[in-house]
Amino acid sequence: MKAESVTQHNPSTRPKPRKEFHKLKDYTSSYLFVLPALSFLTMFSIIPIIYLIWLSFYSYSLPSPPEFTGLGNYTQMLKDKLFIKSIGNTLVYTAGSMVIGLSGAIAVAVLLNRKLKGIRLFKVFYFLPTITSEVITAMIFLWVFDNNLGILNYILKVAGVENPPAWLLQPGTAMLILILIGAWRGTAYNIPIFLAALQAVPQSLYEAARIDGANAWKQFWHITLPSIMHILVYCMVMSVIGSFQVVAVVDILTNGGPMDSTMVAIKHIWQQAFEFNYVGYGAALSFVLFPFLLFVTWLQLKLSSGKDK
Amino acid sequence: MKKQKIIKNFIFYFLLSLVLFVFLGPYIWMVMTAVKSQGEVMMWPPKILPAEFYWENFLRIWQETNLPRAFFNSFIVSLIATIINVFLASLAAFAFARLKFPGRDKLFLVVLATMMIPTGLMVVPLFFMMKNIPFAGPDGWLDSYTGLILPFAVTGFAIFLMRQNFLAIPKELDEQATIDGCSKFQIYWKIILPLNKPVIALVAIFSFLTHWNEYLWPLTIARSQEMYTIQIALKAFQGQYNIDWPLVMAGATTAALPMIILYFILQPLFEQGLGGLGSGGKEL
Repeated sequence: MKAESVTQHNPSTRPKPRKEFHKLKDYTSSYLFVLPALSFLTMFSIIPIIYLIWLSFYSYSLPSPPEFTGLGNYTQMLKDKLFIKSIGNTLVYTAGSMVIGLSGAIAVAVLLNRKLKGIRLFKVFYFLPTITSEVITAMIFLWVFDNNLGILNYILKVAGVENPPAWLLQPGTAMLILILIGAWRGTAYNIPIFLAALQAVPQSLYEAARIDGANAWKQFWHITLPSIMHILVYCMVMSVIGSFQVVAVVDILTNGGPMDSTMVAIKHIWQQAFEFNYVGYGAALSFVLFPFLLFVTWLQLKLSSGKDK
Repeated sequence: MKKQKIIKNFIFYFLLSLVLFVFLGPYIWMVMTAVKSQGEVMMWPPKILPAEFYWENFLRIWQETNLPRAFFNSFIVSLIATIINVFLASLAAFAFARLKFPGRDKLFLVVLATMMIPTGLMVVPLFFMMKNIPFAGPDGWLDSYTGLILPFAVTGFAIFLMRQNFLAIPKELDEQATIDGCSKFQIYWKIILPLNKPVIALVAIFSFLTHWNEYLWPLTIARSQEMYTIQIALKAFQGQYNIDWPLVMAGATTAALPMIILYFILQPLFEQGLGGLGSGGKEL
């Protein structure tokens, strides 16, 4: 890289001014290509982060101007029971939806990875949850899980369950529903990715295993899983980043309740900053999550670029 | 032997249909609820098919609610953001992939770094930046198309994805074009863009879809009903009519339909794109 910036002429001859000027013009036009996009990224990604860090050391409630509080916001956090709870809930949600979502996607991808008539059509339909917004998804499930008229409890009653649970009104089951919806979306998203990974596994490996008399389960365990391991790790990371920022589904289904059992990180931040007007505190809360998510994202980029042969 | 195969296939189709039911069931239930009258929804036991198709709900969506306006807003926001992203990100990707200039790789690292920023954590500072933007009145860009569109228009991911694809084009083409007297912009416009239609289309679809489905940012800066995007309007609407399930489901159906239609029309593109995303976009 550095060599590029050194002018290419022989130092013993004097540089031709015309060529120098031409080179400069050359670079200027190159910079013009990246300038617009980079201005956008600077303005809306880099500056906001600096501003966020600055805000996190101030106490700021509109309409009065920000007041410096040093680490006040950060010590506040340690006393904020809801903050601790929201982090805990987010971790539970992330772990739950990730485990179900990934194992579900692998299972379905294995099922899809064969030649059958009409298999493409199944694949096309399986992807639908991914392109439907979280808001719409949440609305549909709110209706499915509705206490009085929800279809699910009707089916349960027909199946002989005396008193089906009021799903969204009890802490444990409310979180379970959120996890299932996250897993539903996650599975749909990951199926094509795993399918592509499965199709890249050399068939000769399976043939050799069959000759050795390995059954289907053994083949999966010793051939399939190791072959898709790097994709699995990549999907795990993506899943963590996505789940950690869950908010729309929570807003519509439970609004953080019952008894704060589904209060999640982003919702907590949003509430503090925009509903209770503690802007500086909201900024500090955002900033505390940053290192964690940055680390996960960095890991993801590392993994996805490391695969390029 | 043949009989065994038939049984085996039957089991596979059964399992595939079971999964299909899990993914499609909720949608079917949404549509079936949307075409019932409220009276029928209240009836017990529930029936899958309505006694007679009741289209009134969709009419009410268009006449009584602010969803049409929100639809229009979402369309404008998604479209303009997509155009900005495709154009500016492809220009930058072209420079990063095909040109040499001092600091190129450092600048690309900056682009990669912006990809790592979780959007959910940016909402607080961005809101106050939009509010205090100079020369834009007391509320800045709050409650405006500008504020809805600009902050998340250009994505590092789009630059990254396009650069990956632009790199795969042989360098000789550029050299030949330069000899023929083409400028850099002409190379970009006449050679690189036409040869990379699939990835450009993919970036366009994903930009559009992301903005159409976006929730947190419009929720934060759309203050008045006139500026609600479809997702925010739906949420407000659901709170307002929460006992009128057929109407709510008709609203959800109306909002979901454009993307579902788009998905089916552009099916091959989606298929190409998604398999590649998991492998860093190499096989797009």
